[in-house]
Amino acid sequence: MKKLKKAISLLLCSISVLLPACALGGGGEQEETGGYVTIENFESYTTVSRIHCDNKIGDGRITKDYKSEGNSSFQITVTPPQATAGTLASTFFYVPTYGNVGRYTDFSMIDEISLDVYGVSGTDVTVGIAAAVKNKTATTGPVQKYEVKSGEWTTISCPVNRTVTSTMMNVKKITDVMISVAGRDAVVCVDNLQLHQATAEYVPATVTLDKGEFCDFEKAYQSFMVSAQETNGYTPTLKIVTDPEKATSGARSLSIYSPEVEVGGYFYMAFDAQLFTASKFDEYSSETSYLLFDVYKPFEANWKFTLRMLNASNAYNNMAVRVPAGIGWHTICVPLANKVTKTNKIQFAWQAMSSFPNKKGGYELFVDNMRLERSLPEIDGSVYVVAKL
Amino acid sequence: MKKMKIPIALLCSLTTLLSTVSCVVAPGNNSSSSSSSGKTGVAELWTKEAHVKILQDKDYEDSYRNPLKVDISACKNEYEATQILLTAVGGDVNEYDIEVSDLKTADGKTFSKENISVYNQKYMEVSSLPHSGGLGLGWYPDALLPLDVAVEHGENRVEEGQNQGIYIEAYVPKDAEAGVYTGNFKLIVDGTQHNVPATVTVYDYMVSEYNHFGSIFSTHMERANVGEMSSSSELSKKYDETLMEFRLVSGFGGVGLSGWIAEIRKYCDPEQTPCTSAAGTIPIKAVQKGKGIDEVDLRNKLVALTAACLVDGENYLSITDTRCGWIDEPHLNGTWDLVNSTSKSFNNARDTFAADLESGDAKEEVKVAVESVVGVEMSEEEFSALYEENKVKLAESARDVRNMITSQLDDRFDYRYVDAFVGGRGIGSTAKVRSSYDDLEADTWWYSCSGGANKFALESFEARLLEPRLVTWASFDYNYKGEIFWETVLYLKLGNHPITGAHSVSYAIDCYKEAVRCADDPGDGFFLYPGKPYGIDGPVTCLRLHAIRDGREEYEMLYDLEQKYMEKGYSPRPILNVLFEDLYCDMALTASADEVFPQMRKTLIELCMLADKGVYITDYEEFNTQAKLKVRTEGETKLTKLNGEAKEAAAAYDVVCALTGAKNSLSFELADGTKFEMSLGNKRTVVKSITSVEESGISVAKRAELSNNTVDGVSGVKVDLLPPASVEDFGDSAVLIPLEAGTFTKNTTGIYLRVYNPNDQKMFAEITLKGSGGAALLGDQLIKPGWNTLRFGQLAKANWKNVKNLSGIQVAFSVTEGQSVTDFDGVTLTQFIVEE
Repeated sequence: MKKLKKAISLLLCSISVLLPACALGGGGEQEETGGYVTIENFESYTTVSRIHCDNKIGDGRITKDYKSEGNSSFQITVTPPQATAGTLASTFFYVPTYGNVGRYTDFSMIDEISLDVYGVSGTDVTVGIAAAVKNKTATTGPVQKYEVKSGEWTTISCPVNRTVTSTMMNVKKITDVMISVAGRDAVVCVDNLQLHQATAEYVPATVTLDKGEFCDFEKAYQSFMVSAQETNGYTPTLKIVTDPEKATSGARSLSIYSPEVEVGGYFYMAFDAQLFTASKFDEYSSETSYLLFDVYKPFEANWKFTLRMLNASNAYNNMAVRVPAGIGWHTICVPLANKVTKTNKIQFAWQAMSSFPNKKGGYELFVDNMRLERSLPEIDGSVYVVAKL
Repeated sequence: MKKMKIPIALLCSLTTLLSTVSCVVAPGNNSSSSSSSGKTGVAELWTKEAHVKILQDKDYEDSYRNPLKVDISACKNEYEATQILLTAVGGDVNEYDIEVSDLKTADGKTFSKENISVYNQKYMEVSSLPHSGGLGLGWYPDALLPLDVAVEHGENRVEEGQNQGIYIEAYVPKDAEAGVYTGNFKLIVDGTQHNVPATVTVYDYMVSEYNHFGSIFSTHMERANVGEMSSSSELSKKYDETLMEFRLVSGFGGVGLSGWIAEIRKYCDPEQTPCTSAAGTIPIKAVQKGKGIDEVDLRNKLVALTAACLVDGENYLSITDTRCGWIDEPHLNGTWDLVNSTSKSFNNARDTFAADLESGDAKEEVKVAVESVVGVEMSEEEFSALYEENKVKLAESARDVRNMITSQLDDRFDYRYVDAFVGGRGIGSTAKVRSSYDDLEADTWWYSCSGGANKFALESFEARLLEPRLVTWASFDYNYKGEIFWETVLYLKLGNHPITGAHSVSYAIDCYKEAVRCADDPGDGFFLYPGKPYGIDGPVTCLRLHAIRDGREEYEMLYDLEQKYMEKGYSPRPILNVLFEDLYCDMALTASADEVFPQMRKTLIELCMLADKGVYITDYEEFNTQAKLKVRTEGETKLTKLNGEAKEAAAAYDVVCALTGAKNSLSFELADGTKFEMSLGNKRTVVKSITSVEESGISVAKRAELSNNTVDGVSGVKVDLLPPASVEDFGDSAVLIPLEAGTFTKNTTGIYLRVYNPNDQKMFAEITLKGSGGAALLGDQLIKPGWNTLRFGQLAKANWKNVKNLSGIQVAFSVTEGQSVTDFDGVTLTQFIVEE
């Protein structure tokens, strides 16, 4: 790998300059396909100093001790608070796609991100990569995760699903590549962050909904309408499962695996903006309008989470939701009369506490049949109506 | 590594493009608009005082440059600096370095080189000016990178035609001996060694280890963490300690109440703090509850501070304040109800605690806090004795804990509860506005945020470097007690996202290249730079921050001087006004401030040293082109010479100094050989004696009656102010004093009006210049009861284009808002004087 890199180092340099004007930059006519560009080789603080650690428990610095390309690499250390040192924790850095050398923000013709990674800490480390748009808060595309071996360089090739990404954010205005690092006392070095040019156009997803539907998880595109958010150590695992026993409408539902925590932690997941447009969410604003969904809970105790509705200006409402005690399906009814105007995001946040068995995590929940009603219907079974704001 | 399909067709332009790449430099590089010439030139070496900014891309005439030398004068426990400049001529300077050495006095005492720091100045471009005034567009010095680090990163080079500053700063240890320390430094430029004569003069005076000018310089570490790409409590502490080394406080860390108290005890004690002075402000982090402050939380913190006071014998409460973020800038946010409810809630919690402290109702709480928060075991008897001895004093201090509100006076405040204002620079803009704050019982602090040049702007790149320094002089002058700054570590840019266009977002930047980070004000939001890009654990400081510290050190001199005078029943303010007037007027530096500042500073230090010897200069006033004053001495300290004449020993000397020479001064010598000389300004000339209405030609400009009058045997013209005839009859009563064209110009040092105010209340005089082209406002002054010599300096700030040929001055008289002119007897004008 290194030999090859040396041979093309000069060419890489030229590509860095040339590509913004052609295929990757979106500014000029595309003449070639299949090329790539190194958007960050971590050689100088000129560009590196614009990298942004977003969760306050990471340290990033240029190091000459390890390098895959050039003279240095970027060492990322997960630095949890002293009281929780040694536990599983994660940090994430955002590497801008625009800057001093070029602007590589148009991902409509990017189908892969690659990164060289070296495990320094001698422990298991998971590295995640995703395209992201970072405004006041970050919107992150699907995060691809990779186990990194200690003591050697590994090249991670992370496919970019443009169809998925384009439903979650403006694929022509990708501001950052997110790199997450998770592990115990995790330390990795990263180098040679590249974007690879696609050879074909992508097909955008068409977001359509049935009448009154918000998200039933039956349609193909709905598998990427909900995403988990990286936090200080824990990320829920989300997937669409096909199992009529775990669905209240159709055969598919959303599985949420909340992993077991070692120290207290917060989990976040969010539904994306396009569902709000397609469902005409703003029109459900009368005193009798509700968002309803079904939750399957596998344990007896109740389960609490915060439901936050936000708009693009980051105005929001918080609602405390309590899924009633009892194993099985429960219907949650959320009043919409006082929601913020132009709501375009719904976020679920819940806390896991290691000292409370019922809240320690290690359980799988299911959510299904998210729908909008102009009046509260008759519902069989366990129902929880969220208090009005 | 894979997908090696390189667009070969495009490589033809590689050479050109690679040259573009090569211009991309590390953030540490002093990049500017010009590029390397590729040939080696020579360096013109010169020096300049550290209180001026030398721009990278500006030509400076030889007459502006000082010969190559290091000459620093400082007090004990003070930092002072100078700067060496390299101007590359005929090509680039490829490398430079400097070696400092120990300095020695004639009798062999050493000033260690360990106390001398050398920094490389880094430059950033100001390409648009949001404010009028200032030094204009160009490449400004700001970040100060240790020179050895700059050398390590190859930043010790100068491109052809550019200036490069090396900032040399000495810290004089508290135990240093006064004297003149000399030696030589070596400046090596492209292999050639230059000898730099170096002198550090140590005054026999120590700058206080305490800080009496308040500060809350917000440091939001989540913003610093972006530039540092890191976050840890250690890093946070480094930032806090760096600010404290500059006599500023952001806040105190520590985990929980005990941790917070431990930090306060450490940093507010000169013996324990790792900094050269103790922290001067304890900001309580306020917690909101409903529409007020969390009163329980506030009480717990006051109880804990009181416990620490008793244990340490330090009155921490006397330097404690709070700022409730949720009522920030109500004039912008419209949160008047919340301000008033929060203020009421704050006052209630504070005053209840103070009352309980005094009555003894809080005794048990404090006792518990001594053990559980401060961590000291104390017997009941010992505690009770301490408590009873200190409770009244501490209760008084607790009542003085202020809730700082960032706003100017406004009718929407409920003044029963609001007791501390943190106004923008506008609060000092006129004598009348300043006076309105003086009339309040509330404390007044400065508040800076997007200040702009010519307003004592702390932050603005384009402002003269004396502005962040002299803001403390003006604060002492105007009785402002401290300064709040909204952010010191904006390592982000606030605004619209360059890619997504999203409004009001922040995004990461190269902190060494982006001077404008918010509000189009270069420099706003940061006084520190991330150290990480240079391998420094902690922040990199800047010129503006060093200037702020210099000013705060001088505030301590002013404060100390006043304390020493007050102990004897005197006031230093009349003589200090002589210094102030040469440096600034209202909110603007004088044109000559840069030039005269070193002498003014020297005079201030000498006044302090004289007070230490028991010599005081009091009762200064000017009248009939003479200065009258008293020199008072005590004990064995006596004058031997006064203005060149031998003097017999006396306790007080009445001195009259003529002000009719080209340059005027006061000088005397003490028996121990101490010599003192201070400038009293340029030649004064009475250009118009206002002895009668007829002779002076004075006339009514608006709503006044004139009559001839005599006060204390002096003839003059009395101006009686008439009330408005109707609500539409706005504007102040005014008179016009005719003058010949050319009586004074914009380059004149100052003009004076001799006025007698027979009332026991203050009034105001505002001067407008009149001419063939129209009128231009000059400024206003307070007229105290009795005789006044009103000085109007900074004549250049008036809009002379409007005036054209001067024909006179209009003097408008007013009284405090809410008062009626009918309650005032008329003022009498007697002389108009010009200082050349």
